Amino acid sequence: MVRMSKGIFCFLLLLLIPTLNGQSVKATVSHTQVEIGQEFELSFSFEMKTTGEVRFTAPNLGNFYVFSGPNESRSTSLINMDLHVTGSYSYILSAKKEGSFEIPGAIIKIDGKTFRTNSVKVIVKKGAGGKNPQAGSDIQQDLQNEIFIRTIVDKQSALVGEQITVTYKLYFNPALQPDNPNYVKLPTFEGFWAEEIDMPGQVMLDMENYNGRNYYAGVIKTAALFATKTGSLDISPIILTLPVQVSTLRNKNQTDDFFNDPFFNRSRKIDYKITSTPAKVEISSLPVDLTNVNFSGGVGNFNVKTNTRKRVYKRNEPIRFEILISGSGNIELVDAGRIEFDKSFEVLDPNINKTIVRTGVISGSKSIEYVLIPRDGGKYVLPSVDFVYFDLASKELKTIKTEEIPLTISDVSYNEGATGNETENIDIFTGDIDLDDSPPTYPALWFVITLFILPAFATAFFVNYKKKEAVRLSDPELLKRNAARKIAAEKLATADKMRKTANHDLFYTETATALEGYLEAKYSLQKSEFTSGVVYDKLIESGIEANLANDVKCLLDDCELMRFAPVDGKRERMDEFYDRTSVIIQRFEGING
Amino acid sequence: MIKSLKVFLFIFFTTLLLSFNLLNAAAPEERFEEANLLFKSAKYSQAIIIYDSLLKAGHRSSELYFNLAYSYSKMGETGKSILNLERALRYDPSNNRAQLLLVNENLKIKEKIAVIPQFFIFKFFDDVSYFMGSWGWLFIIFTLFIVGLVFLSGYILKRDFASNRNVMIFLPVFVVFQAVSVPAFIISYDREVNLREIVVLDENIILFEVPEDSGKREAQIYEGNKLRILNDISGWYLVKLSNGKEGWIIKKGVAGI
Repeated sequence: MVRMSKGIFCFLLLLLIPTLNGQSVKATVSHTQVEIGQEFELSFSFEMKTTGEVRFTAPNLGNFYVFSGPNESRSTSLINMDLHVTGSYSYILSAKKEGSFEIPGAIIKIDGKTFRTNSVKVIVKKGAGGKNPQAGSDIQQDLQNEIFIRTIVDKQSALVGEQITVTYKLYFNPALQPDNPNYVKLPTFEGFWAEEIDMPGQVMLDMENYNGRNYYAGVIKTAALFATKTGSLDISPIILTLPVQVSTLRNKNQTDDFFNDPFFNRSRKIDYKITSTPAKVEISSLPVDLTNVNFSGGVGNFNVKTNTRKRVYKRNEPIRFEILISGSGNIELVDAGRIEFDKSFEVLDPNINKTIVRTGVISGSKSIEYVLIPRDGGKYVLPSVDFVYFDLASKELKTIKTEEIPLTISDVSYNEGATGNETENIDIFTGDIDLDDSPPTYPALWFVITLFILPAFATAFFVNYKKKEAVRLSDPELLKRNAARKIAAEKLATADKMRKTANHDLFYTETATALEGYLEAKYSLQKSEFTSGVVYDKLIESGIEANLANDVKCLLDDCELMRFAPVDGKRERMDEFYDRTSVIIQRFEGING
Repeated sequence: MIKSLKVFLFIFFTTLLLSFNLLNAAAPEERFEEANLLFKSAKYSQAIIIYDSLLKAGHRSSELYFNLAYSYSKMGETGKSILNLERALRYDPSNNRAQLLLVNENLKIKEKIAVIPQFFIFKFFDDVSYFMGSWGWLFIIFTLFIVGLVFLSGYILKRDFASNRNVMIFLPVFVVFQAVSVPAFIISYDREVNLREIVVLDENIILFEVPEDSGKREAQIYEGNKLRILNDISGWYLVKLSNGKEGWIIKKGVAGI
């Protein structure tokens, strides 16, 4: 009993192993020792055997700057029809301060089951750039007033959908000679639809006085923002690094005056990281009531037109119905709304094309092109479009109503001509047609098998029977007996016929031959031996009792008499003779049936 | 009096019964004719509604499927047209109009999947197997089999007709015929029993390498193409294309023949 339960336990354990293998999670870091400001990768990976949902909950990364992440990746492979899914969530981090930090495990939920990854330890050391650990933050501090980016917003408050222009302007001390900047992080503008305003290829630098100091200043990026929600919205900063030449002699601990000479003014290049100054705007909602209005979302100044290329179409010919919205404002967010077309039109999803002019005030056009396929002929009207937008100049809603477009659809089909194939001579089935065909059938397998096995068996039985019969028929005694029986039956039948037609001459001949033929066949007598005496002797010889042999002899003699002697009652005695003959033959048959 | 009442009742009930029968029998045929008239006056979308309702009512016939397919063809819906033509040919493989229209519709497929040529022996048997259905082949095999049995038993029992000369002539003929018709029967039987095919109805569907949305996309299959189903798991079909390629598709935008 104990042994058996052990076996069962082992079996269960075996069953369990694959499920344990099925899913696993793990956390790894690219470097376990990093310096402040050094980027490293943190990755949480998982493996599973389903394609189920995966939910990731990040651990607290408060001690690090998150440059990017969580970046999700996933790959699926099929090995021997077994799904194998692996994936990861990774971050690019850099440490804020020195020390030893433990990054707690992330929680990954796979198909409702919760897994927690291991935690990883990261040791952060002081030092910047790695080459000169002493410079670093001092230089960052020193350069704060030498190089910076201002975020300039053209208005502090705006309506939802109203354009706000943001300009990022880089200022730097003319003494520094920065190279081209590298963008680390471009602004994302959450809560806005942003359209970057076209800039000349190269940043134009001008001398500008700011806070009492002269700087070289240049606009590095300008964007038009259209708020999509209300409230106090942050304008996300731009982060870039600028390679700057700095003199090592700026070091405050420098004591040796000799080396302070410009001759020895050694300098080196560092990547200086700049984050633009923060900015905020207050967004308020539109000062109009939008309930019960089919508001397009447009804020600005717009115009709407509808158009089709022609007015007469064939059936099935695609109609291109274009709604063209043009003007200045948040053109991207404008929508023409739902349009109800006639039921006989098949409406395909509209194609939307935009052209946006990005100079100062954003303007442009948006074309919404519906493809309609008229299925039936007749006269139709394409509906007018009511376009409602908020006019910024007058601060109120305006409605533009387009004209209805009348269309004529002819009964000729467009497709038929186009394909050019000869289907015109095919006609549909009409008239008296059986609408209920029997469904396609196929013979059942058992039926097929039976169909071949049964005749095979039947033939085998038949052949077997025939062979057995042949063996039986080859017995000489049996053959003789059968032949005798056959002759007697034939002759007696003829005699019977004669009796009925009262042909007594032939009757007696036939009766005699019936008996003679029978005995001839049965006892191998010769025709020449056929006198009644010889027959009697032969029969006695063959072991027939004398009584019967005598009856035969009498009958043969009587027949002779009837055939050749002029005796009376030839006709009347036919019945008697017939019976006597058949009785005798029956008696013979009785001997060895 | 009673007699006349009986006669009246008899006539009354017979007419009632007859009229019911006539009404019931006439309704689907009338609706079929109604749809045909709509088709002739180019109101295809309305004709389709009626043909569909007849199918929904359980009527199935090669002609009905063909008329529906032709209506879809007129509307330019190649996928649905091909689907219904294939169905029409399932019910009656000798439907000439359906064969003709199917050739025509296949030309309209945006990107028809190429058919790889078969090895010539397989192609020979495959072509031969289309001459008739499995019932036809079964009949031929069975007839030959019976004749063969008769000859065999005759030969064993040494009957006249199974003389050496006759057997020498009959045996090669028997072997050749059976060698053709037995594989043809097996192929057509397998096709009728095991073949599951679908037709693409959406404008295009994606063929994936693995049954997974984010899996590698191998190809786009356009409307009207016919695919063979090899396997079926929840939400996905493993299909084989006529060019020999295999992959997974989502069970959407396709319909079984």
